[in-house]
This record gives sequence, C-alpha cells and structure tokens, in this order.
Amino acid sequence: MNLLQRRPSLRWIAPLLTLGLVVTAPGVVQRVASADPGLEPRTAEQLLADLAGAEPRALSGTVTQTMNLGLPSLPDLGQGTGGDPLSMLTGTHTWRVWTDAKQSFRIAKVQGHQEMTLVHNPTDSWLWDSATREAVHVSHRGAKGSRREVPVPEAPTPETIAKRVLAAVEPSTVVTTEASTTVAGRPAHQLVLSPTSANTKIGQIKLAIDHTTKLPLRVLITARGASAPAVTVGYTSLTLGTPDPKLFRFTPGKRVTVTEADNLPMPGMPTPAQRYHKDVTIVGQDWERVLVVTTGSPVPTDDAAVTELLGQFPVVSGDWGRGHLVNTALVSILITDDGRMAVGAVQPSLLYAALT
Amino acid sequence: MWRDLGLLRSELGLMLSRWRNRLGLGVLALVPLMVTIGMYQSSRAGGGPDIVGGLTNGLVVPLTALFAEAVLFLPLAVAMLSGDAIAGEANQGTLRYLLTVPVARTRLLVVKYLSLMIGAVMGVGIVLLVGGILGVAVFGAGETATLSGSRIGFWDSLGRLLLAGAYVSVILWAIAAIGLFFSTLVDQPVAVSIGVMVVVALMGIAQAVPELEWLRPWLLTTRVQSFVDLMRDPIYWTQMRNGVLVALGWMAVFLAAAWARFTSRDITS
Repeated sequence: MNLLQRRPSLRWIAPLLTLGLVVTAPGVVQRVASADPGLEPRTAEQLLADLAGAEPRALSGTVTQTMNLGLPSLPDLGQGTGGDPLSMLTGTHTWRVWTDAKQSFRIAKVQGHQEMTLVHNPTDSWLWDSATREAVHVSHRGAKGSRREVPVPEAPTPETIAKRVLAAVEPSTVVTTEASTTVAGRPAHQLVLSPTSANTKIGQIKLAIDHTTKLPLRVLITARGASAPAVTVGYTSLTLGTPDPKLFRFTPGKRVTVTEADNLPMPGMPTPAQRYHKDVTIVGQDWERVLVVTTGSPVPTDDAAVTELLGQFPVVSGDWGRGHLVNTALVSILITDDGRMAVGAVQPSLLYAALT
Repeated sequence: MWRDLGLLRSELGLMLSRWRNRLGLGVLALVPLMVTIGMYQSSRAGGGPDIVGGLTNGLVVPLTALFAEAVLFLPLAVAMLSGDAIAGEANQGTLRYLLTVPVARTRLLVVKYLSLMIGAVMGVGIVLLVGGILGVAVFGAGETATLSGSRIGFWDSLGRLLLAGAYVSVILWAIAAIGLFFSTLVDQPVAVSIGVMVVVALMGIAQAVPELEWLRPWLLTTRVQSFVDLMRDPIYWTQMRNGVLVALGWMAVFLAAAWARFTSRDITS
C-alpha cells in the first residue's frame, strides 16, 4: 500500500497546493514580466538625449492607464463612452493604439461593452462612439480641393505624456536614473524626474524608455511622500511594424448617424475649452502650473447630485471667494461657488493665489 | 480506455434521458426566441442600439441570447447537471454499484467531469443553434456591425459566434468543476445545485461591492461577458485570454479537491 492509500487525508494536499499556486501565479508572472534585464546603464543625460532623438515608430499596442489619486469614483457627467474628462481621473482605462508613424493612426478606447474609436488618415478623421452609434466625420479637404490641417486629439499614451513632462523639466528638476526594467516584454531604461519645488505635490515621475527604439513605454507619477504611483500609464503590449492599412480607414455601417464637422470633439482627454466653451487659462510655471477654468455660471444649488458630490469635500474661503477643495495626494482641485475651477498638482495655497 | 468511452456514452445517455434536463434545454432555447421577438418588434419600431450594435445580421440574435444567459441560466443548467453527477448516484444508491464494477474512482470522476463538460457545451450549443436559425430566418444573413464601427461578413461573424460559444463553455467548465466537488461532498443533488448557485450569486454580489474590487479579476461572472470583445475590430484578446486562465485556475483547484474527497471517501449509502 502506498502512502496515499494508507493516509487518504494526505490527498487534500493536492487541492491546497493548487490553490496556493493559482493565487500566487499572477504575482509571480508580474514579477518575471517586469524583471531587470540587466541593461548596460545609461546616464540621465544620455537618456534625455535618447528621448529627444526618438523616431516615431509604426506600432500596434495596448496602453493601460490606472489612476489612483484618492478621489471618490465620480459620476459620469458626459454623454456616451468616456467622453467626460472627469471620468479620466479615476479607475483604469484601456486604449488600443495603431500608428504607421506617418500620417495615419487609430485609437480605440475600450470601455466595458462599448468602444470609442478615432481613425485618422491623410484625407479624413472619424470619431466613432459605439454607445450612441454616432460617427463624427471631418474631411481634410478644404474649399476648392485644398488640403487643410485638422487638429487631432492625442490619446494619453506614454509618448504624449512624456513629451509634456519633458517640456516642464528644466530648470526646476533633478534628473536621475534607476535600474533597468521590462515593460510590455521589452527591456527598458528608467529615468527619474524629481521636482525641486516644495509647492508641487509631485514627488517623482519615472519614465521607462525602450532600449532599442528609445520610445517611452511607461510613465509612473508618484505623489510626494507616497510609495505607490498615483498615475500609471504604460504599454501592456507592444508590437513594432506597420499595422494593416485597413485599420486606418473607416466606413460607417447602416443605421450609423454621421455628423459632418469642421473639427473633432476631443475624446477622453478633451480640451474643455472646445467642448464646453469655457475660458481656460494657465497660471504659473513648470511644476507649479495651475489650470483655471471659468465657466461663467455659478455651481447649481438645486441639483442634488452636484450638491452631494461637492458636499463630500471641505468648504474653504478666502479673498478669492468661497468653494469646495478636493485635496488629494497628487492633485488639488478647487471649485468655487461662482463657477470657477482651479486644478493643479500643487499645494492648495497656489490654487488660491491663482484665483486672486 | 474503450470501457471508459462506453461509460461516458452511458453517462451522456442517462443525462439526456432525464426529463428535467430536456426541459432545461427547452428553457435555454426559449431565450433566443424571446430575443428574436424583442428585436423584431424594436426593428419595426425603428430600432434602438443594442449590445452588439446595429441589427444588420441574424447572428446578433444568438450572441445577444448568449450574453443574456451566460450569467444566470447557463450556470444554473450546469449546477443542475453537477447535482446528478455524484450526489445523485449516491442518493439513489447507485454509486455503490457503480464502484463495484472495476472502475477506478479517479477514472469515474474523470468520466463524470467529461460528461459535465459535454453537457455545458450542449447548453451553449442549443442557445447558439436556436438563436442562429431564428435570427437568420427572421433577419437574414447580412453583414454585422462591430463595436468598432466596421462591418464584418456573415462567415466572419459566424466564426466569432462559435468562438464566443467556446469561451462561454470554458467558463462554464470552471463552474462545473465547483459543482463536481460539491457533488462529492453531499448525497443530495438539490443541495449541490443550490450550493453552486450560491457561489455564482456570491460572485455576482462581490462584483458590485466596491471594497471587493481586488477580487473582481477572479470572478467568473465578470469574466464570462468578456466575449463581447470578439465583436471589436480587430478582436481584443487580452481579457478573454485572462478569463480562460482564471477559469483554468478554478478548474484545477476544484477538480483536485473533488479528487481528494472522492478517492478518500467511504461510500456507505
């Protein structure tokens, strides 16, 4: 008789062992997938030069954005799929991106059972929303057949964010490096930017830069004093090479409402000014920048949803007026009763100053 | 080997001969019928958007029916079948006779699980078959609109429909593994079915509780609807791949538990 027959209760080790393996598997896979590939170190200056000299690449990939700002989950105030800028401040968002690195790209925001797709090619731009089955079409042909430039929205890919971050770098930033890592299966160098200003809430911004293509693969933004990143935007999969050209075309199906427009409404990361006709200004420099939005109409007091949402946040007042302050680890948002909004990754005192 | 095959065949024959199982298949087939009627009326009334976009192809019917049944009806069917698997035999006293035939318990368990797997595929198959026939008969076999706004041809959408069925089947196999384990625990088939449905219901509740968000990736009820990603263009595989891995995890744990229990248990009833 073998051991299992003499002591049948030992058989329970099998399911327990399996349970242990299954539960720990994702963590192990994660660790292996982000292992240090042991790249030859590059200096911060070299990495900055790499970033500046990186050529756009034709690629297909998936970008995941995880927001951990400590905000309560916000109600969807916009219509349709992720068209609301506020919804981008919480939760996890997935984007599928395709680009030929020249004139055409496609971005699809995957959200639940819906999808918002932006298709851009040399002759046309299309914005498709599966929730409403509406498509917005912008022809690039101007009057008399001339070609006109159409401003297109940018998806919050690591590239676009890195570009914005680097624009803010000098001179108030300490630039260092960290051990190499692996992002989306690709070995990458890590560049760490730490603002010196005490007024900003950003502790550091960590960029993962692809070893071969020099493309930014991931951006981690960590609040001052925090250990886990508040914002993570990175490729979860990336394939180099020109995608199927038919992805850059769009043909509306039957029963699709097509709206012809001169400009695209901006999905996901909209410019609020265009969408809501608000007045937007930027106050301050570099890391201390504050975005001030003036809606021109006071915050409604008879709307229960708005009152309840704002009621969660403390009331503050000063010579700039009175309002509610959303004070998170990374960003501060001040919404005044007269309908102004100030947003920045800064201490609240800078918001007050920006409004006076 | 051949004896096991014979055992599987008699097991399947027994499963299909039970009136409540035939009735269950009928109930599963009822949903595509209801979907067809609903879509026919809404398409005559002008038609609003539905889960898979504009109704341009009859294959939208089975897909919608599958979407509607994947969370409750299909798991319920699997729960019923798994009640019969071991507990039912024990309850009727036939398990004792089954084990006197020289069949190793492990092999009996494997045959029981295989028949549950086939039962789950049959449940999914009847939804797709009835839905497909009704849908094509009423709405025709045209192009299908994807979630990405593009259109795909009939054969392409048929292929994607079968993939959706396969994906739902894999998730149901995980639920069947839980059912098989419960079936080895008790002698009352009803208790097994209720137990499985309690697990499914708990998953549904956990899905809605914000504090349990960390648990969400592990829930089969959240995973099962990922087949909607098949209707994107190009197909988005990531969530479905993860769903299959999670289902395999549940299967491994509960099959091992069922094996540990069944091979060490005293059959006295």
